[in-house]
Amino acid sequence: MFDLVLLSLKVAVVATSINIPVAIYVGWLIGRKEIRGKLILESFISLPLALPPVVTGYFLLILIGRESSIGHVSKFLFGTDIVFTWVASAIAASVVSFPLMVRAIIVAMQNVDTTLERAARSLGAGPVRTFFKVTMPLCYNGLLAGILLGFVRAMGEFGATIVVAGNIPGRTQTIPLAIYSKVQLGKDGEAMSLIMVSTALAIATLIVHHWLIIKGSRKSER
Amino acid sequence: MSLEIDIQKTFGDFQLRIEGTIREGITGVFGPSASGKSTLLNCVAGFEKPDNGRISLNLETLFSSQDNINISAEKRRVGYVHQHSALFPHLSVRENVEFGYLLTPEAKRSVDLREMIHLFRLEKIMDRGVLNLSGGERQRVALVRSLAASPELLLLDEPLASLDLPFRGFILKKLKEVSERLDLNMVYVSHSISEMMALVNSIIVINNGEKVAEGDPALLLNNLRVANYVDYGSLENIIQGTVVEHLDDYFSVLSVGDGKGDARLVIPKLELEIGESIDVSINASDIIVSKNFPVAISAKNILKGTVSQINNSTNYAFMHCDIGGISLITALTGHSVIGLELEEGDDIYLILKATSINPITSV
Repeated sequence: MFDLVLLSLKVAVVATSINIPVAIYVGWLIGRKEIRGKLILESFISLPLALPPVVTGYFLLILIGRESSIGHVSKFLFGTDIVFTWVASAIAASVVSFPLMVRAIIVAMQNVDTTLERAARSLGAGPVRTFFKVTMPLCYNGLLAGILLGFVRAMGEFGATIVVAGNIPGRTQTIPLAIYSKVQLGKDGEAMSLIMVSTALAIATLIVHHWLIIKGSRKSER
Repeated sequence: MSLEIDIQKTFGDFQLRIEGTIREGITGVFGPSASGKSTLLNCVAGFEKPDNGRISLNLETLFSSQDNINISAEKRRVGYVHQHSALFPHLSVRENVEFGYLLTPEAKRSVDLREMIHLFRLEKIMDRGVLNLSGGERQRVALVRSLAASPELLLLDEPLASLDLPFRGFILKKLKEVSERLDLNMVYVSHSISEMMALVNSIIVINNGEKVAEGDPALLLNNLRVANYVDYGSLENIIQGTVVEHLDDYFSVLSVGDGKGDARLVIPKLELEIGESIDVSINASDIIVSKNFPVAISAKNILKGTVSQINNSTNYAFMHCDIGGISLITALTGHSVIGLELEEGDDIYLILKATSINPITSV
């Protein structure tokens, strides 16, 4: 079971790490900038929330499967496929958890008072410095809450993962996939300990998430 | 030193069209809300881009639609003090104040930060967070923060609008002092006639996005085009006095004036030592004018003066009266001016209750 938890953590950590910089950038773009096609961009990034995860998995299979150009590049560079490896699990977890993370970050960034950013600019700080010295620290709690939400979603990813990474014990089997297998085989007792780990993790994450949101809103009350 | 503006900007059905030159000292921008004052400041600061036109500061072009120039806000060296102070809530007072100072190259630092901290009396709160500061403290921190970045021009957008009178007086005085000491030009946006009269050297009045008048701040008192949006009832005289005597448990005496023919004001007891100075405010409508010396009257102050100027507006007339070297503005109805046959040069008596003179605590 230890290996199982470790693999699940590895997949979720990698998926979240890939998402963080992209989600912050996209969150800033949507939450802070006046850009064209904002509605389309926002709808597009939320798509995995609305699609059945199996469908997302199918699209990913087309994108990174053996016959895709990305699949060929991977074969050429690393001598291996992406599909049915833990990397495919991480990619699936990343795509599915991205909208949750980015939506929380958009809200956090929209809550930052623009007059503070303007104040920083008039004091001589350029846009990058203003972002790191003013915007980021002020939406830090919301940012962290979004990252946490994305992480817990990545930990629980099932539908897209089973399509692109399969359910191979020791290679791509994460906690939810293992629970599924054990229940299928009637090993409810073995499944129960994994269910308890999953539930405890989800509750703990949501408590921290809500605590961060409350702390963040107190901070912005002035 | 000058700021030249010739810009147009449209939002929906509102259009800002301003042309003018702002020169030495403190220039007031006066107008009702939604007249375009803040948009004008935002364009000068670089927060908003005019649709077309040109803005230049000390001959350097900040914006030109023709030459496709739009210097970014952080490179304009234009300070901006917001009505709600806009302090960074995650930083201490010291970190707020040093924010722009540390970003200013040493060669361009023209302001002594320690001197500013002292001038605005921030020493004791430097290591505090900004969330628990009073309104007056917040605005003093915001001012020092802007000054510390050594701006070439300081824009102030209703900086005192959310403060009580006692805090306003201190900041007004310091702003004037700083403008002179640092030779710093300021653009001061407000819809308070008292602040305009007490602070600015010249004034631009805008309404509906257009300039309707400009010149001496006294134009607020006599220009019929601006009369509709001036709140004359709020006009305060802000003057400095020195405590010369405590009469009894209830009253103190202040000496005001230029040191020659000083006038004396009896005011409610002050907890100050003899010789200490204090600012007081007197609402222009609280002063009663009499042509003859009044007898058997309860008011504690009867001041002899001379009418130096009379400005007629729609319903009000404003009379500038010299008493002992200082000038007080009194607001009368036009009817009173005619009834008393008042003219410039007349000797008159100003009658003032002790309780109409409001001390302005310094901080």
